[in-house]
Amino acid sequence: MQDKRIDAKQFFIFTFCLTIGTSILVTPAGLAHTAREDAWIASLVSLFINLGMAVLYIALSRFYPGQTLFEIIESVLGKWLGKIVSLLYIFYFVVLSGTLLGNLGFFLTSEMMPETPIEAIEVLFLVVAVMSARLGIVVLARVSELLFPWVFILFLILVLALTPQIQWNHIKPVLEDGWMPVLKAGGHTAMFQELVVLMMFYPLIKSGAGKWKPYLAGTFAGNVSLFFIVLLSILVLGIEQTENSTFPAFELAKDINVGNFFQRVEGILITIWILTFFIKISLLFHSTLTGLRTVFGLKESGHLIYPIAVIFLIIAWNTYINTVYVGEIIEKVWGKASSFYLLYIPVLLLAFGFVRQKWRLVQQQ
Amino acid sequence: MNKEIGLMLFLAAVLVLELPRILKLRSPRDMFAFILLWGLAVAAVIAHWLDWPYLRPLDWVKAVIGLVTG
Repeated sequence: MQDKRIDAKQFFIFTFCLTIGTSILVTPAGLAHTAREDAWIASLVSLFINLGMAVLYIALSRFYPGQTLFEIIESVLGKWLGKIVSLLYIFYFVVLSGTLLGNLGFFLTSEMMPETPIEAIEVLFLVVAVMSARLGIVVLARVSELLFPWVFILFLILVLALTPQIQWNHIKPVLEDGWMPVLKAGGHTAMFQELVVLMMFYPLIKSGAGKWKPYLAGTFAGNVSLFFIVLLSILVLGIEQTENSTFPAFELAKDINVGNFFQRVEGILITIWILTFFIKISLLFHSTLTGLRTVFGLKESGHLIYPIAVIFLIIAWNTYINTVYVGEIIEKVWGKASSFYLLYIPVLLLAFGFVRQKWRLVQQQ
Repeated sequence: MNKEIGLMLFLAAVLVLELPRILKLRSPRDMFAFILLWGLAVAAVIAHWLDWPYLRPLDWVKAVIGLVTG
């Protein structure tokens, strides 16, 4: 039987790729809309909030060692309330997966392949995600190890190739509207990294001291990468183009021009987003299967893969209707909805668990 | 319409191929979960086929957030 353990390096890659996901494509526009030239400061605020959330999840996992998020929910809240809350999380993962699938399909059809039906692209990515789900988390971890150097190298090329085009005056004025827009934008953006998903895989890390390190390191590295993209968007594109672009990171890639020789490389750099998207949606798929297995007490979850894939596709077709609709949801709704799953419930679980443990200790004494 | 027909055929194939496997497991829970999710997938495809206007999960989320925040 395959050993379902992953090592710290593989978990770091999961965390890094989940953090970047498709956020790298769309985050700069949202930040620029609220924080304007201070979007780069808002990105740093988002980094610290995400690190805080990672610490929260690590604390919760240490409180209930060896348990996934769904098992923790049932341990703390009891069987039936736990299952209801778990189903809410599964709903969140399913809607998120469908929306991400729609997002990537929209990106590729609008920027690269306008005559290709969006459904064809979505089905293609779903087929790969289904293969990943069927083969298991260890195979996904090994594939991520193979793909990560490409993500890193291409990201480095993107950043280094753009540095000659930086115009430092684009960053001024600094904090013209004060800290409120910065904090608001940073807090809102922090709800789009969905680090809680990794609580499904934290128990799988091969035991040893410092299991928490890849979680924090991956969160930090992923958010630093987002910070660099946001900063470059402001410095290279300027605030107006960053705010008005649907995919500022792609606009950045299109701007690469080194010596009139190294140019039009955006087609290669799209690889970054495709690889990180693949890992993110695969992790969400595995999380959904794990959740259903826990909620229903199943012997195995492989037979659920194909119906879930169809549901993802239908959701993708019914969420990413147009950019105006999705933009409105992202701006006004998704941040608040996400905070329920990413912040409020984990804090509640930690508090409940802490109180219950203290109560048991008192009763034993 | 073609893509919905394709999905329905796919789901029919999934039912035919997966049911014997699940029966071998001898697990009523696994059977229940599979039928539930398969049924949900079929319902979703039919709803999309008929252009059911309420098949928008983001609108459901928006409605709940609207209720909660007032």
